[in-house]
Amino acid sequence: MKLGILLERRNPVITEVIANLRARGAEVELIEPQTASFELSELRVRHDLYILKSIASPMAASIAATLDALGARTFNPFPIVSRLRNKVATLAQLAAHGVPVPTTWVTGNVETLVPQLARGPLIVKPYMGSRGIGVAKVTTRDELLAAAGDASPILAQRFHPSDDSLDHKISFVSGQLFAVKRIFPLRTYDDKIGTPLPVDDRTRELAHSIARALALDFFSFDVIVSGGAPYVVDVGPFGSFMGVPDAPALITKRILQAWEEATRR
Amino acid sequence: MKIYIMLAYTHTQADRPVLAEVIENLRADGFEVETGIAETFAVRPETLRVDADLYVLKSHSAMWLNLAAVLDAQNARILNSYSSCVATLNKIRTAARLHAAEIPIPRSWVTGDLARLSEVAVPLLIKPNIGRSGFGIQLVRDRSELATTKVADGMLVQELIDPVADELKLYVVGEQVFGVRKDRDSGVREPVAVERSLEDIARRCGRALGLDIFGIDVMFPPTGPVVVDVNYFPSFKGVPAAPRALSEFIRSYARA
Repeated sequence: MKLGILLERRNPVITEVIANLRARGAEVELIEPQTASFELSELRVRHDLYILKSIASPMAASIAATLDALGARTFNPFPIVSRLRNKVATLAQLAAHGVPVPTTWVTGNVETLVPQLARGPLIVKPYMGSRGIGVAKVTTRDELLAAAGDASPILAQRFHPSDDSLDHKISFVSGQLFAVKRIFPLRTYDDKIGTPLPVDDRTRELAHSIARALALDFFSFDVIVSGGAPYVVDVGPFGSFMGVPDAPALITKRILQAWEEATRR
Repeated sequence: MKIYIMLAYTHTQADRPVLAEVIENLRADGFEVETGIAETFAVRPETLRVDADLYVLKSHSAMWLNLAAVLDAQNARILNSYSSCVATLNKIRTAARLHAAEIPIPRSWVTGDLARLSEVAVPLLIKPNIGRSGFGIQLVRDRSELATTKVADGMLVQELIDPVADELKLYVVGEQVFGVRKDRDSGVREPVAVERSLEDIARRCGRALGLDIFGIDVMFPPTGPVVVDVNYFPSFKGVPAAPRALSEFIRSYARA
């Protein structure tokens, strides 16, 4: 069994998953886009399955797209992961399936957003962002202009203050759910692990709605509960699974299952 | 029937004479034609709904592509298709697909770190993965420049072509192929007849990339033609037959 794992950075969870897979006899090759270099004619599908751990950089996304175009099997499926990277399309898809998301605007002209500040702060984020990079809360026109910079388009959302000042991160693995609460933005390693949170029925329902809306069965998402109402503020294709008990074992099992499905097809 | 044209952001109607004629023709044929420049909107993406029978994606901007993504997820008809347009903007994806389809391209490498290309012969063209209209392309003539050339992210690196004939721009509308020769010294462009073998290369590019309306740039090293660039829905400037061909293609596509 040959597995290619496309990843941009390692964390303890993925490192353990790789060790588990190797212990099960898998030949695992890590493809790290930032140091990759190859002649185009050499790019071939050489693995039974590719795990798309992260494709945030254009280079990683290009390699994944190219492998997909050449007929590689990918976990999660490349078209789904690729669409998820685009926050504008993802938000529209979530809203269409009744998942609560903050009111969102997308524009090429930041001035059109200024009137919205009269009704409260906005969150400005890159439409193709990841890991919270470039996310800013703005309350004035100057802050809005500075946060938008030269980017186009600009994605802005209504800011909803979290009731417990925390961000709830939910991981979904084939119907199993795990939740932790964390501060945002993350500052330290302990921040990243967060505190375990029981999963209530509302969160469970929300997670299944997202799974249906985006055709995913392995993902993580961020929820803010504001005024008692939940708002989904981000969905990621893989997530770090930090703070999830037994995450490496669960992920290993899911990958082995995906590999079995891939070789059976 | 309603056709919506997703326009690129330019200042005046005179910047797009071909498109202006296409719009006029379609209206004369009884189509309701609406146009818009996304950069001037503030859109609530969750409220965006398909309200045209056909969308024509002319713009290459991230703003329009984002809105096209939302419409595509609702099964809007988009010409060229949304996924093909996104793929074509990515030079690494495009080069890999052309190569897989056995279409001749310059020898190419992919890297996030130019220092790793120590075995590769110069001169080289370093192209940003997501690049428009030649923006950000760097020429490296001396190996020592590889260490000092800054790259943003993934780059497509290609051998520099030393041409033995003028570059050709081939414009494709469905099955029709139009040629424009670009004089190597003066840069002057003139319409030319296209050889059958080059028409064939152009059509194969369209099939490989899933495009109906596009342009390719072909250069001629001693070894034969190579495709150096592909753009979806280019300007068609200098192609006298373009307005009519485009109007007819869009009309039959909309009614299909």
